Amino acid sequence: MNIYKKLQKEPIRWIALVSSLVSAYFIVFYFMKGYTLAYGDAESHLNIAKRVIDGVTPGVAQLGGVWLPFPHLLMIPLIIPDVLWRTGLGGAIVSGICFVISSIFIYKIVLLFTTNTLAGIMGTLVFMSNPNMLYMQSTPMSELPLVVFFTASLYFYFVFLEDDNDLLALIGAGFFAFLATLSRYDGWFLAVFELFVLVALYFPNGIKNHMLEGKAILFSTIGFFGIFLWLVWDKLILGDAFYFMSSPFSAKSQQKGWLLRGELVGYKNLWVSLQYYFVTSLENIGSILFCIACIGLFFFLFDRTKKNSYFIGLLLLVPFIFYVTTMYLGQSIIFIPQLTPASFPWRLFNVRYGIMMVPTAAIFVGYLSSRFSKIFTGIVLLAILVQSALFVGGKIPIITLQDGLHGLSAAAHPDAEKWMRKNYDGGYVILDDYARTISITGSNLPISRVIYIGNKPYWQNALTKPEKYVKWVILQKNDAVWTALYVNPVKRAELYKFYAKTYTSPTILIFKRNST
Amino acid sequence: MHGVSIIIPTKNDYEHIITLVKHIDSVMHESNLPYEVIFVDDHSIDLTQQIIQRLSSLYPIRLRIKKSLPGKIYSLREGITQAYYDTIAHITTKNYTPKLIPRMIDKINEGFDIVVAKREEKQHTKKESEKILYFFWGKLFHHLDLDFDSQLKVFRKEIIQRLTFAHSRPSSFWFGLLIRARNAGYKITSITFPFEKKFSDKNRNIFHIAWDISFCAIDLKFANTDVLPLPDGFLFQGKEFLHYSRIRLSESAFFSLSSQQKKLLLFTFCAFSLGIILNWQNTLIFFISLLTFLYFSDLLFNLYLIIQSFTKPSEIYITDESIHRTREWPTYSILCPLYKEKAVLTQFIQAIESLDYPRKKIQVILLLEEDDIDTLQKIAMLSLPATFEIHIPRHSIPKTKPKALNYGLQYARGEYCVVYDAEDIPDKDQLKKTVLAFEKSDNKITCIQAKLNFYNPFQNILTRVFTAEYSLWFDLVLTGLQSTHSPIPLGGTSNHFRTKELKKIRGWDSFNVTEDCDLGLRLATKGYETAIVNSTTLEEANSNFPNWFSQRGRWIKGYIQTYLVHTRNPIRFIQQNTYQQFLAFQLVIGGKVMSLFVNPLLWCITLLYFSLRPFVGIFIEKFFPGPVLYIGVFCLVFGNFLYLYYYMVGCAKRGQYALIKYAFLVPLYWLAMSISGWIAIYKIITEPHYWAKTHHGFHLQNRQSIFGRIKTAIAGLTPKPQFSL
Repeated sequence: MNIYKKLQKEPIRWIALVSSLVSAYFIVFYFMKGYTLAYGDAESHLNIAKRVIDGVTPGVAQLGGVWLPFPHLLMIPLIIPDVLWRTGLGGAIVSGICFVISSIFIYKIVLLFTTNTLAGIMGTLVFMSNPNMLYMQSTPMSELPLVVFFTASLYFYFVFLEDDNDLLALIGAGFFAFLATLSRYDGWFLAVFELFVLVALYFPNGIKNHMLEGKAILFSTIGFFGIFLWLVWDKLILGDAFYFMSSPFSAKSQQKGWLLRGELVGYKNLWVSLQYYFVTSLENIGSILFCIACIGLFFFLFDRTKKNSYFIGLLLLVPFIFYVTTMYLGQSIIFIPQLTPASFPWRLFNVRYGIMMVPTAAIFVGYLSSRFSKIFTGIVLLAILVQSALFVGGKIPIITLQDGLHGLSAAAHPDAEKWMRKNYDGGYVILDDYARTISITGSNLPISRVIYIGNKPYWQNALTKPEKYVKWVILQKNDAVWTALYVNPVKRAELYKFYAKTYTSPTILIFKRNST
Repeated sequence: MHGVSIIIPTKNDYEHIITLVKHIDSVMHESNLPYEVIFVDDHSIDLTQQIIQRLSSLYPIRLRIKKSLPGKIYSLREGITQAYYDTIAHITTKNYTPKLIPRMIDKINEGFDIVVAKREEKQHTKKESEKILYFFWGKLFHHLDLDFDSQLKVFRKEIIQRLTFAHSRPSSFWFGLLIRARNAGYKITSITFPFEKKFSDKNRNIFHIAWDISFCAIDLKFANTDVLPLPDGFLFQGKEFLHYSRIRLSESAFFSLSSQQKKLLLFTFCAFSLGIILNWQNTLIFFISLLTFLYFSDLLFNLYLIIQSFTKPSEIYITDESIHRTREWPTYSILCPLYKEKAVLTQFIQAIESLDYPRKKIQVILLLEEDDIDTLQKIAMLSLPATFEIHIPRHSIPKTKPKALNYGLQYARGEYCVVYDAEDIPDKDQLKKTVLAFEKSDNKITCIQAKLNFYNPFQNILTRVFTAEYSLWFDLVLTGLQSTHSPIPLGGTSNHFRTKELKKIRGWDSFNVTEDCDLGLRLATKGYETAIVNSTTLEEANSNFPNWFSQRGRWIKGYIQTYLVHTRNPIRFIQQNTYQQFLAFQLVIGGKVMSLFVNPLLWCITLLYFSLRPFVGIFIEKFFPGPVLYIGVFCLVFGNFLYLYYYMVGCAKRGQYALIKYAFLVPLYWLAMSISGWIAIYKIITEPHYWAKTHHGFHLQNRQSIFGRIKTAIAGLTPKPQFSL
């Protein structure tokens, strides 16, 4: 049996195999290059997961109340061994698994639309060959968990749209939407739009239609359960159901700084928001395939053989709508060199948001490849190869990697980190981890010895009387530890009374408790 | 056989034998009573055996050299095996006069089963300690005041033959026998006589006797006691029970707990109490951990069932085309117990008449009750179709639906039979579909259950939630159980059987108030299977809250009965089925019952924890070590969510989209079920076999809407128009 026939017979197995190999290769590749923890957020995600099981005050409360918890829960089993935590491989493996599963769902979605195995494989190829996706799936970030739940939810939803008696499909869509709502806030939009489409589907039969009511409740109960849980969680653990929006650690609070500096691009400007996300998506997908995907979208929307094509198109564009909306509302920000003014101190930030459009592009490219003759399929394949070559050859930058290495998302590795790695000799450390003073993984500090703001009551106690609780005090200019212990002259004097300054740099000071 | 066999144990008693034999002969001749004497000699080494041999040529006596264990009791039992007559007299060689025997036999002839010669107190020299012993354990503990230790008794032979004594101890034999015989329903009486102890017995160890009597008394209190069989039932503690079933009592819910279960319960209670006394904190931690683990298992199992129900639908699907083919249909018997069902009788007859099945092949057996005058009168006024037969069992206890069904089963002549309740409206094609389903299945399928749902789901809030529950149970859970080949607790109606097999497994347990659930499990233990068919019977959802509580309490009581019956011998259950089926049974029946009692407790703890956290938070946290806490929280959040969501899924599967939103009221429904559960516990102790009748016909009552009533009231106030001619 030739390869093509084998592929046709058991495509999913082959897709799983190939995507696993591809995923594993790139995880190792980027690890060897030292890029796994390029993003500052990458270590933060790992530390959240690690602190649940190993920290000064371990427990699920360490999941916090700003970032959604599910990606961290997925990481927990894998970061039990310290080495997988410090290297970031524990989290990267989770992203890798999500990558593999997403590949399968993309194949299934294209197959559902086209009943064409080859088209499905084309779509998967687009996804699997995308360098930005390949980089992100090698990192312990939360994008890939969202991608897998997004694609899974949509797959089942599209099955339901094909046959609205398929209750299992509707429930499946709701279930994966539930997981998506606990992975990233983009998932909330997905749930809302899926509900909207459901209502729109049955609305022509009248608002009092029991089927509309029943199916909407059936979907929403599970689809929105994650949102409900998150609100209850924030209320019970942090005292405010909307802590994720109003806390000093929320995106909104972070964006305030930019707003004050006039750098919150897209805020209250729909056109700018549209532009930014459009360009970000284009850069992530690659211009050639982006164009082909747009053409695919066009043909899809006007394909009369496709039931509910507008609804499907709408759902596949949910990430686009989400990011444009959040940028417009000032809840998120993207800096991209093509649009960000040169006067801005940073011109590369959060460009990884654009990879959320990669599955959509893959699906429409796959769909388009089935529309015409096999020659056209060959053209599409050629386009994939050409674009991949351009990425590999460096002609098109891997923008997500660029952001991790040179953008504002990049993790800082100050010299203090190396110093700490060499000189740490045990004892508790107080450190403002939110400000990312130094990397805990990079400095080889055991996480069970690091006191940070989430370790109540030790954090407060250590800031009041550090000499009683900690051996090491690490301060970065204007971080919380600096503010508590260094700004006030009295506190500073006390600090010097009990501690010796062992490391100095323009922004970071490290104190070690006197041995007497 | 008229006459008496006198059994006399002997050992080295040669001095007394001749006198005794002569005395017996004289007394019996005077009374003109045929008799025989059987000496059971315990290997005497004196002249006892020779004397007896010599006397046997002159009198109707026989010598039997004992073969069994030493002791008078074994002698008695061995002697009984040789007895010719049906009446036995037991007397010892010393101290007792045989002249009482004729009087005692007269008592037997009057209708008593055992007559004890009671020694007059002032003359006998029984030790005080023995007196107190028998007074306490006999009179106070077992309410039986007899001279247990008397060595002269007359009784019917069949009593010893019927009551087994595999583990009885010699010193407590008579004590045990008399109590068991009384409990079994035998009549016991005494004849007092003046007693003079001329010869002393060998010294008896009072401690040994006390131990034996005490042990026996306690054992008898907890052990299942014997019954006296009757043609269609039995006698127990003087009460007659007619159940028309041949199910062994060990497989029946007549006794709620077996002796092993009582001991286990007592042991568990003692162990728990001891644990609390020694280390209450760790004991509670262990208890809570165990509950959490059971909850978690139940959660996973139910999720598995629901998924199986969707992914491996296994109901037997019969198409409409296949039922309309011309063919010969087998006879079908419909069993319908009717008790105080006057309100729905007409509806029921119409429903049966609407069934699409050859009239000549239907046999409808209406099972009425003697004391149900209203229904009897209504039936008398109706002209019933020829297919209907009326059967009225004699008024008796237990007064239950399964008893009536067992009675009716005797008359069922159909190849298949089905149970319908009075308020049922089955699908018209149900009988034909079921016949085809049986023919399609292998012979292991002995029962086919139609799905149940309600024709009045929108009557009120209660019926809405009840309908959601039924949809979940019949459209998801039972189909899930079927797909995993687990035992299926049947629904109370629309159970179709192969009549021959049903009779083979002896019908229903008349003492179980959820006879349907019990039968489903019994079928599984006998190697049969139940299937679900794509046909529905609609019945009336309970719309009245007190009626609902009563019905639910009975169901829960029945589930407890069923669980207790089928866990009497877990090893046998596993041997007859598989581990997986045993586990499924534990989770479906046991888990369902357990959750009713445990849920409110855990909800209270959760509520207390969050509402009074500063005061009780730390105290409560002590009982939830890390892993237990996380599993517990998982069960609390996701468990409750899933169980609620299943109701929605059940409604959706049945196409009842308008009911889905009422699933949010299910937590209140659960609370009501928990209350019913506690009532059920009380009832299973106080009235285990009482069948709380569910009243039907509420859906037929004239229910003018509120607006209708207002309109009527307003119409009454409006002045009538004046017409001019």
